Amino acid sequence: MDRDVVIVGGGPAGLAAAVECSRQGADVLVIDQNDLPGGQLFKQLHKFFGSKAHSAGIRGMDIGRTLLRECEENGVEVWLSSTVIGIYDSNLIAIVRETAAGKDFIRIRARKILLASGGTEKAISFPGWTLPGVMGAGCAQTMINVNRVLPGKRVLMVGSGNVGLIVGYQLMQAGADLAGIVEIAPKIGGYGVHAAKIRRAGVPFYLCHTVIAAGERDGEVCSALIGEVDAVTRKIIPGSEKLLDVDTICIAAGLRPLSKLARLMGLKHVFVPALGGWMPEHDGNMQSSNEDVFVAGDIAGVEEANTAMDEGRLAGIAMAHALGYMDDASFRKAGDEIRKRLESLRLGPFGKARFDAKSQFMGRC
Amino acid sequence: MMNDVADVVVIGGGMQGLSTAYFLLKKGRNVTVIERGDIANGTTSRSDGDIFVCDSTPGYFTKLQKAALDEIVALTHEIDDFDWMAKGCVILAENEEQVEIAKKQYQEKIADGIRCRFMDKHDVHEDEPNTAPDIPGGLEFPDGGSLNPMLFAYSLTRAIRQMGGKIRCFTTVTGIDVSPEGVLRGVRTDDGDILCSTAVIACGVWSREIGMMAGLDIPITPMKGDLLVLEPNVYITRRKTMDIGYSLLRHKKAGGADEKTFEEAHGIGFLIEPTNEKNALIGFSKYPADSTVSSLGVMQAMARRAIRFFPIIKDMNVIRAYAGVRPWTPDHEAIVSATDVQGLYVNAGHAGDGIKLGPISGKMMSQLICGEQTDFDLAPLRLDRFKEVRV
Amino acid sequence: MDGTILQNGYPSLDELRQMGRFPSEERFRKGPVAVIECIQQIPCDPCEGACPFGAIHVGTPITNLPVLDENRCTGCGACISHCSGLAIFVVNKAYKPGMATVSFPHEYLPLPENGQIVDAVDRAGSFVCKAEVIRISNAPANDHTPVITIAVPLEAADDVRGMKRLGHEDSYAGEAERGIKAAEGDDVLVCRCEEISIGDIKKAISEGATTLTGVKRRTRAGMGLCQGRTCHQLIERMLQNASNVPVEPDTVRPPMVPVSMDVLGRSADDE
Repeated sequence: MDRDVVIVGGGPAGLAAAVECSRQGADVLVIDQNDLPGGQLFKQLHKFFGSKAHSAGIRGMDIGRTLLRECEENGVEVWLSSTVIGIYDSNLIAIVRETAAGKDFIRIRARKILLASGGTEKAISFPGWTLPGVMGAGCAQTMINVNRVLPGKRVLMVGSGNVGLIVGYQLMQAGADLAGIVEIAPKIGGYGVHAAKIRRAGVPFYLCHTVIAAGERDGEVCSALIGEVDAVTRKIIPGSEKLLDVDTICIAAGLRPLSKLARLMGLKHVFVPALGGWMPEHDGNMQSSNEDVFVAGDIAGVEEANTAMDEGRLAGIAMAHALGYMDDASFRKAGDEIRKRLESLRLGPFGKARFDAKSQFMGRC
Repeated sequence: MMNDVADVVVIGGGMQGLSTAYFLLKKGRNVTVIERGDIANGTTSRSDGDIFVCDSTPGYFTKLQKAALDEIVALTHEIDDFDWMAKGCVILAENEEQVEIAKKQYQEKIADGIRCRFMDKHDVHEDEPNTAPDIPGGLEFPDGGSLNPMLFAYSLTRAIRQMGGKIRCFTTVTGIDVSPEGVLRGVRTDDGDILCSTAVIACGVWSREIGMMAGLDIPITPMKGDLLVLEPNVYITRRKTMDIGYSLLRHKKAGGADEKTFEEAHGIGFLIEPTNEKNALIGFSKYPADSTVSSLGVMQAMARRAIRFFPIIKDMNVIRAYAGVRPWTPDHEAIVSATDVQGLYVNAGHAGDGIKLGPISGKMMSQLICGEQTDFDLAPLRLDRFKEVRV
Repeated sequence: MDGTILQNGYPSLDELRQMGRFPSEERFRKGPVAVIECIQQIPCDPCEGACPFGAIHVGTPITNLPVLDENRCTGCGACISHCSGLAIFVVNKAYKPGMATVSFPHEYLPLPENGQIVDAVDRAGSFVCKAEVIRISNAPANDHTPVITIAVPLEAADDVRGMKRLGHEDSYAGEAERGIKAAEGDDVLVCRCEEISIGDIKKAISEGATTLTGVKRRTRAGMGLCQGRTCHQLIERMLQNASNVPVEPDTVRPPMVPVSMDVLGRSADDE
């Protein structure tokens, strides 16, 4: 089976790319491992930042619905519960597709491939980190916002980046208590406005603190021992330990690009700490070191859904252009518009580090 | 940069290089091993740990393999544990025609002094009830076993260091210094030169390029093999089992584009090796290619082949696939030999038997270098045998 | 300027005033007006479009802080629910003699009822005073961000920014139980599938492993069912701490997820 474009990952980047690419006339297939499309969008019940062009002020789940509708209008095919198990020479993609009838093994050759497989949560290890009740913040978010199950009654959040802050807030909305937010750095990592929402609910921040161990009762978490760290050595200051009564510890230690497929394909990688670590190198059109392969979203450096969607759009038109569905002039014009928008998302104290990091290896974004 | 002196420089930190260094150190030589990557970075880390005597050419090579097995058993008492499991192995025939081949092999093995039992259909299923019901027979070899090649390499490494041997990892050989008279003077690396009168090329698949640095033609080419790893805690069979095609394939120029089917072109056969970690390795393939990236078609063909012998396997999960390149010679036997350059030796080209033959080859290489009588006549393993073939 | 918001989790009143986030007292005395407590340059501008009177300006770039034209602002509160950061409030210091109202977003259920007495809290969530709910706005335009208006004493108007959640007993049960039973120090697990500890990884590094592959081959960490999904990143960090250089990512091997032999073996349509 042959396709113009196969997009691996139906999150914000993948779906936005699919919409743009199919709009130009390309035949697009989106493959997603989950049984629901949208990636993280349908877990994101909060309103987005950004500008009007970025669906600012709209909740993630509603953005997801719009993208899916647009995919449908443009004839994009979306395969759910389908996993790419490998991509081989001549763009041969091996897929295991699960349907009501069972599992199928399908091989597809694509003229262009977009890897939009997202990011993966970083772990931290401490005594008890393998107990039930210790989980990634993303996992907790899936439980409350997709499965509608509360992971616990009293939660400690470890990490004060936007993920920790947003998930902490949503856990309270879902009915849990937030016992505190622990952050090893001397300042909060995420947006002040997210932190302020949490503080208004009376939740303490433990800055310069880390989790030392998880307590255990009947095989589950019953407490968290935290302690203050020396700002320089990051060692626990003796006597600073505090025992918190919690039944759940959420880890929001950041994300890194999920680039396994990219590495299997041998794409050139770069190490960019500001964007989560190793990631496939790409240019301003999201093209990787392999001319047939594009990357967008967290795999191309961990940022957020708005930048992911814009990167997806860039990749979408770049693939359409490469396949001859778009002329040079309109491609350049549309690309410049998106790049300008992307640039505006990478301004300010939070965006600048990401802007600089991206600029480092691709000239100007 | 660090310039250095050694009695012997061994180029290559894989199975052959480490074994050679180990036996030379036991003889009191001062040895430096040069490895361009980490220990056992090449084919050693991509091997199964099969140590059997069931698949060799009758006569000399079967006896050599039997001695190889004895060397490995001896090493279990000398160096740290390397997961040696002496469980024997089974070879299965797929049809009546192959049963006849099995009967012939049985005679050959007995003649070479190898313990062996012929199994009919009933015996096969009594021995291992998971075998496909229509498998008509096979051979059982009670001797031999398997080991973990990585642990083996690390245990040898520790022993080498304990005896005062030097291993320089992440150091690349950039040249071999030979005098105009054809005498070895030293080995050049990207981290300094080493003066030495003796060096051993033990670089497996990469021996050819190192040989060229000294003007030698070492006819070793890569022959790819793929393996699948099954999830942990599965039980299929208690022993290493393969189809008789494994030994048949060994003796023909397997693989190549001129073969009819995909299976033939990629030398697909069946092999299962239960590991100490309670998962299982599934093989095998054999085709000329210089890549360690698993091939999708080969992975699929191996899966189909395995299900044919053990239908129970079909619901088990593959968690990983990996591939390596066997150092292949024109007659698929190893090179353990002196060369036209005085002081320069080759210990490479062990095809799919590098782990098994490592210790015996290393031992004989140390004997050769020290001017002692070798355990076996090395004539069939000489490098210059290929010159004659070409003339 | 971050001020103290990233230390305390909220901006101080002084900072807000210094940064011009507060309307003038003169304007406050005239009636309800928006207070935009947005002090960081984050890329966001929905408030600009939300104001029916054009009283909020962000412009380009969108990281500009919103600027309120206090004379155009009518205190209608349309902006409150449109602020993705829930950082806009409306304060009416001319509500009644000695009394003010504060309107704030409140995204917790259950909602209070009109006339209900609730606990008003400040920016740190601390109790300030009892307050009467005088208005609840939850129109479709709010898009599920209800806006609550409560009446508070005038002197509390600059501090009160929310109310305690309702129908919610604090789950705190008393003294926490220490219960630390898991292995500590070098015995803490890194690879759960193969049960490899921090000590095992340290040993591999001391024996010369400098790469993930080197550690994997020496310890089997990451060779289990999950194929290193979690532990590789932990090991990467340990290697990095040991050498101070970025550690090459591990070789990736197919399949990306476990796949059954049966499914894998299904015949290919082409080759």
